[in-house]
Amino acid sequence: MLQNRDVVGYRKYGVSSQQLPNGSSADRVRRELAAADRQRRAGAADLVLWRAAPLAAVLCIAVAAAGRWRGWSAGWALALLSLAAAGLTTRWLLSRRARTLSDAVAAGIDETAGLGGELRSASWFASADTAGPWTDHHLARAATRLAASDWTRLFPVAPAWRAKTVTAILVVCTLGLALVLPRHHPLLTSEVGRLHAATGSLPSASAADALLPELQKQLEALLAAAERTGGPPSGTPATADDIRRLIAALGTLRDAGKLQDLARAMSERPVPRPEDAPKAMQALADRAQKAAQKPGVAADVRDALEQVSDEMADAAKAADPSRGPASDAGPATAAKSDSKAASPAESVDEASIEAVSEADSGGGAGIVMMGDQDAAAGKGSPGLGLGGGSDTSTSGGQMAALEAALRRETVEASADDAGANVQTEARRKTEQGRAGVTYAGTAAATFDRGRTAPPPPVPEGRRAAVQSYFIRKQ
Amino acid sequence: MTTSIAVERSIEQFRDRFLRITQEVGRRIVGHEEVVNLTVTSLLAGGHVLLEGIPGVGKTSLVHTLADVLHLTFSRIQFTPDLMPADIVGTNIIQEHSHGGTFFEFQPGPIFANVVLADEINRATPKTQSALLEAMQDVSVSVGKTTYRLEQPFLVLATQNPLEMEGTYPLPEAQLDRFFFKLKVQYPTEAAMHDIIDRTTRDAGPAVTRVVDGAEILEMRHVGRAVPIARPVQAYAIRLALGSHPASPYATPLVKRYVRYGASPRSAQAIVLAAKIQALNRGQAFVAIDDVRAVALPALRHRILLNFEGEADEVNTDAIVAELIAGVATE
Repeated sequence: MLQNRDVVGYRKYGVSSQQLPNGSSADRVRRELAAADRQRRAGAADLVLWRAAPLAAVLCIAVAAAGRWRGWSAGWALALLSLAAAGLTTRWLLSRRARTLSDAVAAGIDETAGLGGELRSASWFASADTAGPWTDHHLARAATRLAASDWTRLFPVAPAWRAKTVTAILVVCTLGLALVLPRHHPLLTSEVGRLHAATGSLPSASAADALLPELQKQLEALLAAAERTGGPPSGTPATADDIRRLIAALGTLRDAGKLQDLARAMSERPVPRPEDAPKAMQALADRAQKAAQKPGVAADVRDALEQVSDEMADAAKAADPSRGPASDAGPATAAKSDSKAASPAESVDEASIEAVSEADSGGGAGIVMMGDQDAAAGKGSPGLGLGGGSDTSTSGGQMAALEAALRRETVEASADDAGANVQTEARRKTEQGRAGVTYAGTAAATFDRGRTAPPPPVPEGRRAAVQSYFIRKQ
Repeated sequence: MTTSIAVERSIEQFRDRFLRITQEVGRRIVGHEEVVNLTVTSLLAGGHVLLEGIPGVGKTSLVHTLADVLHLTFSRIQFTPDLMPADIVGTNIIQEHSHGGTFFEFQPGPIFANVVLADEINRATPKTQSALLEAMQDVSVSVGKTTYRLEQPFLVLATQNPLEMEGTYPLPEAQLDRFFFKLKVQYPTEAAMHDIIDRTTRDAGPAVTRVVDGAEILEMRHVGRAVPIARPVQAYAIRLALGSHPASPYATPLVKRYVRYGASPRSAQAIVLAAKIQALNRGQAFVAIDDVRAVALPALRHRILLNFEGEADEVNTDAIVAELIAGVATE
């Protein structure tokens, strides 16, 4: 329509109420038109503003939450909040400024106000160099009629109380999330510490101190739950996320060197001397290991407890320089060795499994017949060694745990689809196999350690992240 | 202030006279308020009207009543195939002097009246129809070497029957274009029929009084032309006229498909003039878009020439104009 306006030679005019002198009907018409246009745009601008403001506030609070979660600086959320406020304010101000009033603007206001075309016609004559009794009369009547118009009623500014309230709440939440929450929420802080650990920087000691009581409480609850084997009571971590956060918090404490404090705090007996801290840590590691081996413990809880045990054992080892090379295998291995010594049957089981593994690596299927030295005497009950064997003690708790583990593995294995010809393949291998029935005295396959390389050690900074990665998700 | 009061008084006077004319015509003509309104509008704008309708709907009665109300001279010409131009404009006849000898004296035809009813105009031959051209356009007639001015106000009200087309001569475009409005006189409603029968089946029909004379009509014409029109509103009227041409950027789909030639510039003149009269009739001193819209249909419908496809599909030009009014932007 611009070209139409050019065709008819319509002249635009830019006026504001400040520029207009009091006087002729044309001036009054222009002033009223400018006022009406300003009022109309104010209403429209407010409408847009209070529609956009809650959305901008939602965006800000989302960025603030993500920033707290990801460890960004609070400045990002505040900067975005400021930017959004500045943008909306600028747009609001721009929409209210004086502008060129065209015929389209006059027509729109005329139609909305129901003036029957009088404003549109008068606005054109007010800007044109036409004079005459009829034009003057037209302008005078239009000016009088426009002056009687209540533009605030015709173009009301929406109060938008709901939008304003929502925006205010969201802004306050954004500020709180960005500025207040990190100093008071230990779990979120532990996430920050975890991420700091992942990026190689150590968390602050104050954050670790703040984390310690909450972690102690949660760990006590987890241990108690596992030792009771009745599932997690209320208040303990129950979801994978909770456990992951707990492990991450543990990593934060470890990185901050506060595991000793945790062990001392959780020790049943007071540990006044710092040199006794490794013992307390080892005791906590053992407690966690035993709790993890309790039957009926959920898999993720067991994994978490084993990880707690590993962390504590490692920390105890690192803190106790008096420990010899025998303990290099770690507390878990030490515990395993201890249990081997205490239970010959378990040792036999381990040997049996190791023998089978070595026989497999030799290329043939082998069955190892192993037995307890007391089996010939007919003492003891049958054990779990492949090919037979016996055990002097049933170790009911461990057996139940092993049974549960095997059942779970069986269930999981049954879900795997090995393919239609798996039996054929198995039969073919059996028919072609040349392995002997027994070769208890077989030697392990030669293993050239010189050609092997140990797995790369996990950097301390990545340790917590790797641990949390391998936690089974529910 | 004085001029404003004078203008205000002019508007009120115009409105009052307009109202009196329509009310007085309405005492005899029932159910055709819009036709009466637009006929008076055309009269005050200085245009001529083509009334189209089936027989018996009151076309001729409307013209008779209008002439009675306006206190104007009235003549009626019944157009037939053997009607000659001289029968309309008049002719020179031989007269004898009292002292002997003869001379030619011009005998004015029925065209020499203020209100001329050209009844069933499409039954006359084009040659006879064209006798009206000069009178309608220039308000004068030429006989021989002499041109005679017609008395103002001069109004031709022609009627035609849209059904009986056999033996008729459709008006040429040049003559159609000279009609300010083409009004369709519709069949009256049932309620209007009651009023018509009540008024026309008595001993004495409803009498009308003369409310306006020729001088007052001329004054009203002058007032009507003084109404200012804003350029954007005038641009809309022009766009309506231009949009009736298929090659125009304002053309609507129906125009592009069915129209061969659109309305002439006379149509825009008619629209603007009639819109001014309508504005005064509303008591306003300005022309609004709605005034233009109100008169666009009667001003454009007879000025649009359909193409072959439009004729074959029996497209009504009213639909084309209605689409134009709805489709052409007002800004």
